[in-house]
Order: sequence, then structure tokens, then C-alpha cells
Amino acid sequence: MNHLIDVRSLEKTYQNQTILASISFSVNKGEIAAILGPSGCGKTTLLRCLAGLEPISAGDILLKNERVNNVETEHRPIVLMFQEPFLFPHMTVLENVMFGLKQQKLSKKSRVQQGLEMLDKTEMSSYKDTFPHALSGGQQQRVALARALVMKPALLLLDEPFSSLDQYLRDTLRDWVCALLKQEGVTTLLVTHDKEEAMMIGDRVILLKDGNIQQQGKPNEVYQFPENENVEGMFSDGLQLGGTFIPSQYLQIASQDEQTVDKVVSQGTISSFFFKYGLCFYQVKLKEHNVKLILHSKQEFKEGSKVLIMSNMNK
Amino acid sequence: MKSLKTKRPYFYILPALLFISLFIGYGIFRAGVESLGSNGSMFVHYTALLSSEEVYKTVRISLYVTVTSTLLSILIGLGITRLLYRFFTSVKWKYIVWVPIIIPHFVAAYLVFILFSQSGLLSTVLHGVNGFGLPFPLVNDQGYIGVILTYIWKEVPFVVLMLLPIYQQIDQRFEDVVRTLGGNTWQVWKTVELPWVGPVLLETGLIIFAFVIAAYEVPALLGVTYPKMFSVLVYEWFYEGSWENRPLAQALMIVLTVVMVISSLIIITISKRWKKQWAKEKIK
Repeated sequence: MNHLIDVRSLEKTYQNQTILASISFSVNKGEIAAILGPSGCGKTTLLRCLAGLEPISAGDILLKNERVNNVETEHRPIVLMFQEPFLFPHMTVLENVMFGLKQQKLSKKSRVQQGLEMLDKTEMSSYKDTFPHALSGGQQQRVALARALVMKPALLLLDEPFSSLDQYLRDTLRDWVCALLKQEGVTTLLVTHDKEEAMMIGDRVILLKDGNIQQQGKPNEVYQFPENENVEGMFSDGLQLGGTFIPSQYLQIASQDEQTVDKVVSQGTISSFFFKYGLCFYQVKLKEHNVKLILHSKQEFKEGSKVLIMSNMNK
Repeated sequence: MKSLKTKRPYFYILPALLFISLFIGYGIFRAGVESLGSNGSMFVHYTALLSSEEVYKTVRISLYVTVTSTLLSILIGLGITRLLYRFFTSVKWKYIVWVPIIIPHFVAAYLVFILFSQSGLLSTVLHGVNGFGLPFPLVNDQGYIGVILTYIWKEVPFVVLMLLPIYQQIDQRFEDVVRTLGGNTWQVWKTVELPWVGPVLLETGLIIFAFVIAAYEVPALLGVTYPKMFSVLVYEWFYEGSWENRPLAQALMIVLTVVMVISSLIIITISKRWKKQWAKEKIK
């Protein structure tokens, strides 16, 4: 077994309310696992439990095959990075990065050396003597990452680290962080509510809803073969029809008078359209299901036109 | 227009400035004038203070009572605040801790007298139990324990009042960051709490210090006849039958005022600088 962390039947209740119910998963060494779920599903609580910031109600957390349930936060080789950078405002960038090393009682020379090396990797070395307030949001998040990575944690927990940034910065920083984590070989558990982010960064995704794991696996497998309606709604794109899920890649829009060999699975009205990645996407309001479906089509449709939804899944 | 705008704040504080300069400023000015010698050396009364054994002992006992009361009030208040904000955030009866604030100092001193004097309640109860009463005097004692107890009882709620809103402003995730980076409770205090509450602690300490060192009623009721605290000695010199010691009383108060003004300026400057870093973080 190459599992770095093994979470077994973890439960967390607070004031008689179940936040996490029997959560079990594992993450291999060097792997990045993305935990995806809607707001309030318990994903941040899960990270806090793993970091030791919240006591767990039942279950076990095994780190390198050792039970760490009762190990205090400061003694767990786990570092949690939050949505916001939380840099200490009265310390310079370098002092912030060296903070954790100081707790490890390393010599000042060693701390400075390791701190500067990490700042170099995070492309922030020219700001070493700057105070956090003088940095932009993205730069602050880089410093926070440097502060976490310099600890060489066995497990890095990232709690929606890009959510406080604007779209452009988020995209840029996400790719850069992903590359850095891979380069450093850091085992990472990333919490996000953005499914694209989960797919892009995660070697594996763990889908959480109402305190329960709905499905876990490789992103493409989960996307194509969702195991329940929750996963279909959260992670996949497609149409749920009487117990059968048809992924979007098997669906097409056709005009009502179109002759086709594909099976008609539904009917609807084009409610709007938009362009993305050079393609035109149509939002179709389905007649009998009262749901909206977004599908790409090369054919041109006008808003309000009646269309058929065709499936070629069993071809 | 621009100069009018920049001058406007000064215009608004003009009534306050007038009030301060008229009532406090003039009082200090008169005291200053009266503290100076008319013949020979101008500072004859100040040199007399320096050579007085009684003044030396007064300074010593006043500093001892003030520093002890201030430090203990700050420490106990800090401890209670940390407990209150962590565990009783939603409990309304936490405000009971502020009840002593509304009780006048003289009444507080009298309560301490009733409880802790040699013929007081505690002594009577102990006498009933062991037949000896209090093993040592707490009121009107050379150690000024009764005075210190009164000030602690009165000032601890004030410290809590000052610190609680500051503690409630601290983002708890800073503590989580410290812990997840391997820091213990001491590191949390040093890295997160102290930089945040430190300036207020300093300012609160200054207020308590300034109040206690110059307060009259508590040491007058619970202190001893020798050595006296500042205000008791000054009051005695000022109102005794002969007016001989009046300039000495004024000189002593002027020295105290000057020392307090200088200390306040230093502490406020330090506190301002300290606040700056976290304020920048908050503004963002």
C-alpha cells in the first residue's frame, strides 16, 4: 500500500448535527486529490479535521499508517492553506515564509537559506523584505504557498486557495500551483467547488454532498460514469431520463423537421445561447423535465425555437 | 477652499481645546507658579522634595502600589478576556464582569474594608473557624494589600471592557495558521494576539497607571499613615493648618504631571506604530 493518508469512517457531529458521515478515502504519496462539493457540504470541516483543528467524532485518520486522531495540530506534518493568505502583517515576506521553520528550531542560517530558496521557486524572492500589505492578492497567495511548502509537509491541504482571486489571476495561479506541486512531489488535498478546477488539478476527485462521499475516482471516469443523480448534477453534464443518465457527448440538438436516425429522447425550447472556446452553446429548456440543458451545436438555432434532443449513446 | 478643509478638524475640536486649556491648563499653570520659590532659588521646593525622606518613601510605595495594581489588573483582565471571548461568546451574563465598573471607587474601598479589615467579615468568619481571625492585616497594612485588591477589583472589568472588542476582531484563522505551521499556544499569543491587542494593552495600562498613581480616596481609606501614597500626602500638605507645605504639594503634583505627560507621549507613540501594521492589513 502506497497510501500516504487513509481516512476511515470519519464522522463529525456538532450540536447533534451530522457534518460528516462515515467518510472513507485515501490519497497516495505525491498525488493531488480534489474534494469537490457545494457550499456547506462539509469539505472545509473535513480539511480542518485532517489538520487537527477540529476533533473528530468517530473514525480514524492514518498518516503513513500511523493513527493521528489525537495528535495535536502543531505536531501533525500537515499544513493547511486557507482561502485567504493570512500572512502575518507585522512580518516581512521572508519572515512569514520562515515562520514554520522557526517552530522546527532550525538555525537562522538554515531558515534564511530555505526561505530564500522557496521564495525563488515561487518567484517572490525580489519581495523578501516587503510587508504583506504592499503585495497584490495573487502575490500574497504565492507567499502563503511558499510558507506552506517550505515546511515540506507530508500532506498539504488547500482550502479553495484561488477563490478570493479574480478569474484571470485564478487561472494563471492555478496552473502555476499545479505545476509547482507536481515538481515538488507534494501530496495534496485540494478543496474546491469549481468542477473545472477539480478536473484540471486533481489526479483524483472526491465528490462530497451533505457530509457523504458520493463518488471518487479519476476525473474522466467520474465525469463519464456518474454513479448517482448528485454526481450527475455536480460533476457531469448530461440528461437524466427515467433512471438512465445520458452524458452530454452523446446528445445533440435537432430541429423538429430534421430527418435523423438517432433516438429522440426529449423536446425543448432554445432559451439562450453563448459562445465559449470558439463554439456556440445553446441552453435548452426541456419540455417534460422542467430542466435546462446546455449543448453545443454547429447548427444554427434561434431563441424560442422548438427543438428535439437526440441521443446516439447506444450506437 | 483646500486650506479651509484641512483646518476644519481643528475648528471642531476648538471647544474641547478651550475647555482643556481653561480648566486643566490654567490649573496646572497656577500650580506651577505656586510651586516656584519667590526668593532665592526658583526651584527651592523641588530640591526640598529631592532631599525629603518622606517623599522618597511616598514615591516608592506609590510606584509599588500602582505598578502592582496595573500589572495584576492587566494580567487578570487579559486572562478573563481570553476565557470570555473563547468560551462565552454567546452568553449574555458575561456582562456581569463589568458590574464593578459602575461602583464608585470609594464604595469599592469601603466594601474591601468591610470584608478584609481586622474586624471585617472574613476575619470574623475565620475567627469562628480557627479562633484566630485573619493571619495578617489586609487593610490599613504596610503592604497596601487592601488598596491593591480594591484597584484590581475595579480595574479588571475595565481591562476586559477595553480588550473584549479587540479580541473579537481577531480573525481566528490566524491562530489556525500558526498551529498548522507548528506553533503552540505561546506562539499564537506572541504572533497573533500580542501584536493585535498589545497597543490597547499598553494604552489601558497607561490609563490605569495614571489613575492609580494620582487617586486619593482608596489609599486614604485603606492605606496607612506612613508611608502615604502621592495624593494622600499632597492632600495633607495642601490642607493642613499651616500653608508652609502648599508649594511642596504643588511641586510634587507638577513633577507627577510632567512625568505622566512624557510617559503618555512615549506610550502613545509606541502604540500608534504598533497598530500601523495590523491596521494596514484590516484596510485591505
